[in-house]
Amino acid sequence: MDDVIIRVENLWWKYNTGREWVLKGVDFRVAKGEIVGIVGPSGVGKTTLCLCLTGLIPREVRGTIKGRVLINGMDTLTTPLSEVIKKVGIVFQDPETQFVTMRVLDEVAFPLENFGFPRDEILKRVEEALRVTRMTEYSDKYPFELSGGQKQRIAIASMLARRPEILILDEPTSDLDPLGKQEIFSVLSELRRRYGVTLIIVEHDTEKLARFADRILLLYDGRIIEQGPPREFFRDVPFLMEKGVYPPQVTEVFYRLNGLNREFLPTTLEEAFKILDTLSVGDSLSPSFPRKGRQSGEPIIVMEEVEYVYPDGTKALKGVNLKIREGEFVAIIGQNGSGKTTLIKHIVGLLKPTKGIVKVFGMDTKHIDISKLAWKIGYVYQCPDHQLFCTSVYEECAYALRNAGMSEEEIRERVGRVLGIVGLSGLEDVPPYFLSKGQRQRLAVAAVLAMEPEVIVVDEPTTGQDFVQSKGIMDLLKKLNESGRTIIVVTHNMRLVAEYAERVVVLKEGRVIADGDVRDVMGDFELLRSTFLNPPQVTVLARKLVPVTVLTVEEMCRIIMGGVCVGER
Amino acid sequence: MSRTFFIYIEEKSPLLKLHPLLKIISLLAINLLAWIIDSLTALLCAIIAVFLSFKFFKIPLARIGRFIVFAVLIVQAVMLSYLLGSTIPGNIVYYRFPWGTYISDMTLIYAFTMTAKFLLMLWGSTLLLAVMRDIDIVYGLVSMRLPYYLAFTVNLAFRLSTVFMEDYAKVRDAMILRGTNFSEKSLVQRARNYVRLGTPLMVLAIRRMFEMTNALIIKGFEPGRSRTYLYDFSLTIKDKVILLLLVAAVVLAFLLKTFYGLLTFPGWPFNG
Repeated sequence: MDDVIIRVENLWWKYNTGREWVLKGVDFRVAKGEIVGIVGPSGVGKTTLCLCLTGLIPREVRGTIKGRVLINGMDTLTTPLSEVIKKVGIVFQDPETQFVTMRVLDEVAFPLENFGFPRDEILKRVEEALRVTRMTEYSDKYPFELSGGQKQRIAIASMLARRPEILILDEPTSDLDPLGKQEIFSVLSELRRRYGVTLIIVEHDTEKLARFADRILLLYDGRIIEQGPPREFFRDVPFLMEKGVYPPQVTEVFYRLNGLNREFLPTTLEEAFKILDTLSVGDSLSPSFPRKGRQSGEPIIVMEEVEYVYPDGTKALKGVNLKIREGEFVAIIGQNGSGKTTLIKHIVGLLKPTKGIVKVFGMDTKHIDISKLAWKIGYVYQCPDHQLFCTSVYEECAYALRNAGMSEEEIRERVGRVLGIVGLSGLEDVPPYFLSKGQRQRLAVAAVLAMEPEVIVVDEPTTGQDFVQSKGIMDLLKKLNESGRTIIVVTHNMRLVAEYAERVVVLKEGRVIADGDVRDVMGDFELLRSTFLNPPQVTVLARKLVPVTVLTVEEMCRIIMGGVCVGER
Repeated sequence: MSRTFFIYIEEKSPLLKLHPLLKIISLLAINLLAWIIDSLTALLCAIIAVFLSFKFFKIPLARIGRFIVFAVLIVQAVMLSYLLGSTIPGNIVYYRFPWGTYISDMTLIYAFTMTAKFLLMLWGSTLLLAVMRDIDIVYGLVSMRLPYYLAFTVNLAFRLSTVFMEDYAKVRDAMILRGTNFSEKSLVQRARNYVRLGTPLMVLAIRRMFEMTNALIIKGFEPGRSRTYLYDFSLTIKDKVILLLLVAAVVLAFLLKTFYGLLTFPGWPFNG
């Protein structure tokens, strides 16, 4: 490999607080200007590896290290950290913890000031970084009160402005709307093209990596167990799935088809289109797929002309009218900052409308005691850490039940049941903060489930989770929906929306711009694009063949081969 | 609207646009004046002036409701401590306590004076902290010749307190959504609820501290490193005049009290 800029040699790392080695002999090199994606299930050491590449490990984090990391020839063990970080920038997973100032513009300018850039250059770079991240109009805002996706954009803009030689991004786009994701990846590619920046991107979204990365590494159990250019990397679909990595949908579709040459599995939509052009498929098919939405059930949540204005004057909801019926599985989607979280906070009573009425089970939320309403509507936060406050997993689930004065026997029975449902049985005595993020998310769901609410509202359940965990949570919600509960989910993951939701509500700038059956909404590409969303790959792929809306890999396979697939999940 | 450490303020508030150095010096000056002045009349005039400033400078009192509650609690505590625990001689003694202290006519005046001092300090500081942003602390302290990294660290203390308050609100909401009643009648239960609230706040605070430290390092923040500044806050002639007036007011109050016996408490020193 020519012009190596990162060299990781037999790297081992163990935190002082842990017994196990997190990294167990990681070896790889990265060439100058290369875009390298790192994938792997949650908890395998991806963030730890990122910290090693910045020099923060071992300089600022305590633990035991073996092997070495060379950045542009500098050994991170012996070179002062201040020298290493001149070359390396990193965007961490949680954008909020990276904010050190109170204004978006100041936040993006802060590193440039520290590195001594002249004022004119700072202003020029800040303006450019905010423009490419679509955050110019937010430059005067307080970063902590932006939406999750907007916060991520600011964190990215702050590093884009710096233009370091090496930029590491640790799940930088998990909260971004789909087109926003694409824009960020395009900007990163442009950054490489224009300034030769080397990029290391940890990402669960394999569709994006397949399109933008030169090479992908699979980190599993502290080791790199597979690596290669996207087309080679995604060839062994069962192996990747077994390791918790889901390939792009188009790759999965063509892998599942009988009789096609698997040596040429496509990894991007463009490649898949080319293969479709060479095949004569679908001529004899006139497929039809059922609508998923149901119209039965009583409306239990009614919003009429709801408006909401935040203290800074931001109008987050502008005349929202919405009815949600008992037993529905509703996904609320929309671009970053479109008002999704504000909307669901009205449903659970945490926010009261500035204008209009929100009625839940026939009661106006303005006059309801939220602690009582919580027994009817459970709310799972985007960040589980704000929701867990007890000393053990058991106590966390028992908390609300004790508040209601239930008997210990009844509590034990209910807690045992909900822990079983979310797969946390056996961890009753573990303090919640010792669980992985995925487990904490499931515990937050369990704590709400224990209250047996009729409606469960979940805000971005898949953020920071690998695909297997995300599917696990959605499977759980589906099961609860089938048992009669109403589910409302806010998410950007269009693949999961298509697979699980029945009805989709699309928000744009505080207004509901579409509300209907998932198949109708996903089929309206123009509508989705207008709010920075993208239909799933299979939906786009199928449209080339037939004028129907396909939602899943299985449906796509049926279209192409009349239902003949292999390797059903 | 512009976000300060604690609330949102209208962009056009003149106090918001004050030079950072002047904001810090005003804060110091008000507290020094409250400390120097012992005359109840002068203190009451100053309190009224500060109160009117809230209106004049467009600081919404409704958004600092919690501070008002806090101020009332402090006033009560100061009053009670003088009424129950002092021996200030006066012309009339109204009440003698079994533990030896008493309330005289001078006790009342002295208690009111001390309360007025605290109120002036509290209201004055609230007025200025309401318009304080991170750049005010940093640029204000840097223009007082404090090293940048120290100025930034002071600012971080304020920042973390606001982040802590935001986390507090989120966790409190989460607890309410799990059936917690924070307006519980039983004080023991109420205290227990607040103790429980402390656990996630502590964990979040520790986590934030570590992650913020890493973020600062990565963003090139390093003691001693020379840096450039995005804003140019040079003092205008108007700023210099205000600065001079503030310093003069403090010096004048000190001279009047020390050499001319003005602005002092009537009857001081007590000869009991």
